[in-house]
Amino acid sequence: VSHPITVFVAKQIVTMNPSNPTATHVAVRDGIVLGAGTLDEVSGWGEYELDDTFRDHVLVPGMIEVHSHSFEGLTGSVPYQGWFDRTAPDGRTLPGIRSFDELIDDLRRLDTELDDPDEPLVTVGFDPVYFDGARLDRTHLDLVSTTRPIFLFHASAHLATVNSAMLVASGITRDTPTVGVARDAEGEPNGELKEMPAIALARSAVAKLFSIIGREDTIWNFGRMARQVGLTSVGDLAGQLLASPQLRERWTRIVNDPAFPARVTMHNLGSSIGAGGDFDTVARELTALRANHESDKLRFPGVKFVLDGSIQGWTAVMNPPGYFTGADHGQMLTVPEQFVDWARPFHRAGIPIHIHCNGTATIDLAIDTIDQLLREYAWLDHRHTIQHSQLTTEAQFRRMKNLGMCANIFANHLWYWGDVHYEQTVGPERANRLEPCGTATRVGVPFALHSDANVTPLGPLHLIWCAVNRITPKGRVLGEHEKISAYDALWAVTQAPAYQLHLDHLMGSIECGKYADFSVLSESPLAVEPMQIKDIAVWGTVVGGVKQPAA
Amino acid sequence: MTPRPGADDGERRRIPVTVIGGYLGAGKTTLVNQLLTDAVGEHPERIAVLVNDFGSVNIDASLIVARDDDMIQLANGCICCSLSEGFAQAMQRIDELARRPDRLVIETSGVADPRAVAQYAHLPGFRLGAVVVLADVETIRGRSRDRYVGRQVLEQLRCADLIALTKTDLIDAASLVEVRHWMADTAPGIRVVDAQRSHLPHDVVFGSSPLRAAVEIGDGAPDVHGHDPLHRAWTLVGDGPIGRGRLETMIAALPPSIVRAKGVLSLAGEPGRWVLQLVDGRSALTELPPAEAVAEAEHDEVGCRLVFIGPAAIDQDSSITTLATGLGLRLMPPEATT
Repeated sequence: VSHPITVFVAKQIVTMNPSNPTATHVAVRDGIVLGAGTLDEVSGWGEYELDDTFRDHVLVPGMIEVHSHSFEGLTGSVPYQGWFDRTAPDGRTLPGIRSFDELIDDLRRLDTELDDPDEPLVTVGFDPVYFDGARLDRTHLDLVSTTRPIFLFHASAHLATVNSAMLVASGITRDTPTVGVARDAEGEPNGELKEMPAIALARSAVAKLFSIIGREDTIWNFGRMARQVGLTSVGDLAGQLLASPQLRERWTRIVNDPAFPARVTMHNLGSSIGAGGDFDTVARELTALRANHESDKLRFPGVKFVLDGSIQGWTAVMNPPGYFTGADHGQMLTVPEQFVDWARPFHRAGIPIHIHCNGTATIDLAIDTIDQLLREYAWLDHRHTIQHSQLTTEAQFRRMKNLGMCANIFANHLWYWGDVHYEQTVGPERANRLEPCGTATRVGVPFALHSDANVTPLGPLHLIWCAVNRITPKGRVLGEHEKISAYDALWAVTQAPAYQLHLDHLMGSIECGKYADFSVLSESPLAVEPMQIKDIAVWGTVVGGVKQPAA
Repeated sequence: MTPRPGADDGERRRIPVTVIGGYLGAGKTTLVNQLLTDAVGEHPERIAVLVNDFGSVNIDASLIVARDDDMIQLANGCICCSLSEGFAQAMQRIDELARRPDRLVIETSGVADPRAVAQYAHLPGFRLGAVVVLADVETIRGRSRDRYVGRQVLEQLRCADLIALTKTDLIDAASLVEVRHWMADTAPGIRVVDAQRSHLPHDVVFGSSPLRAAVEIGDGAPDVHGHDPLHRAWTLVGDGPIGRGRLETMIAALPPSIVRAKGVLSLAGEPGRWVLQLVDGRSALTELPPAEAVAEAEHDEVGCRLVFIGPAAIDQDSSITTLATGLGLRLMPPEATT
């Protein structure tokens, strides 16, 4: 068996290896980096083939997203009607829709593309917050069709708007008592359905969405989306594999297929079906999953728990003085005094715990819980992680530092909801330390950045851009003192997530012995104007030494 | 008219849904297990139970016929799990069972909003019976001040049709009176019953429909009306039907300080009996299922009987009098209200 060596040459190689920061050549054998340096320095490994595909490109370490969701693979599979342009897994641009007229025209086009006249027309991505004036209701959608049921699932996932045909097909009338069926002045349903009990009344549309979610190409497209934005490792942070042998078979078969273009890390939900409230068993099952089903492509690095809701939904649980405006709907999604018992078996089994905390109160609960577990069972290198960690205070970061915890910071919020946080949810002072990368850096808590895709679009360059510039759509700079350097931000999508995953011996830098995983960019994020970082072109990736050009 | 696949055709019985809520440790699982046991004994019927997770249900193994990932088949019903696929899908599966159950009991998680879960009871094939919220008398007041869940615990109580106090045998009589006073202040106008060791009679759980809560308002919670200094109730009664439009106009004109209203009535020109509910400024009229209308008739409850609750500190007598006049109802004297 031959083990050929490939030497990739690039305009520049940013290694993120502090002892060898830049190179022009990297030698690869069996998917592993032999060395990075000058051609002279790497040619001694033996006979090699020089690959100059990237002669005009910059290589950075394969970028890593820990906290996204495989729903991102739905992009393009269901017609998209959001405000912002999106890119589909096949490289198509899905144009944003900016007016009701465009929306109606688009729906009319989609209507003609469906053969069966009774098949519901279902779209995703619509977001009423971007439309001034009249609220979308059934009368707008009735302009498209009075016979075909139409269902627009909003970007928030808490709302849908349907036409009259869908109301009729679903049996929704003025007598439907469900709270969440919005009504017009005459008491008739106006087509807006709020929250799942009301949305679920539109059975045919929900069934159609579920069937698309369940398709295998949703997983394939998750990997293609990662390649498209320069990620070599992408995470599903709410896996359900512990509940379903069928899902486990499907994921292992697809991700381990050599054609699948990214590595996947999946954190399974601890409190999923089958847990039976018996988390000792779940921890054993997860240990077995790790032992028996992990590969270089697919790993199960930890367990996920969700403690509260979201800040922009006013459902994150906040410490005093609470929200700036609006009513506090803070919602614990886990019973606080149960959490330590749920988490204990995983901690004891050596399984890192990733805890979704958006509010400042739940961050306290997570830290208190880890503190308690560490008093019970020593584990110096646990790297338990607070996910989202959006408003973590300096005092909380100090405790996290002392306890050895990590943060994964939701940097995209600065752009997508920064103005809302400044004006409405938490007010100026706290909005200015939203996504507190500067504080985390000063205190010394290892932190990664994440998109929570499909909540915001997948894309590590956009995360870097947010953390470096902290700018909002209205032009505000949110927290000059929380800005970090482009280098630290690139670290937060390479070395830091690798550390958080306990995979920093294999990923995160271009360095002898690690995976030959590279992101191939037109420019170095460390060299361009900070405001240009998000616009750097992505050629694609290299995963385990194999070139993966974006579509 | 186009067939309405989601709607009921009138022949298919709608399955009544009872939501059992309350914080961790309140006794929800004990109650559910008791209801399942009763259903093979004293009150034979087929019960479907929807839980977050099977782990919480400790059912007698002799009742289990078969089980798979999503459902445990019982001799007299089934236990389903909502966690993997969500309530709507789980309920659709129950609705499509070859032998549809006589009733569905949903046990919510300790941090769930039972009233939000109850909205699923309006899916095709189902109807909402009642929301029963359990409260552990030893811990409920402390929980209501908890930094993480205090507000949620209060909201759970305030959304109930019926509050059942549990573990009442663990505290002395004076403490129980304190808890009942506190509950009357905290969740005004909601019927409160005792349930030692989470045991509640079958009829109390399943009979506590909006109707029962309406006509019996105060029966189980005399403190609300007799001793609660913060709230008072007005009861309006009448012998004939009320026009729908007139009722809706008058209700909409009520001052926002009227926090809650419940009642049962007939609507002019519309068959059946109707339940009026007003919570947080939101009013709803729902038709009483025929079976309950019959049961109601047996209780000699005919005509209209509406109860309105508001802060005692605000003088509302004039708005209530206006309401009574506008609807052609009589305002009962305060002592008759309790």
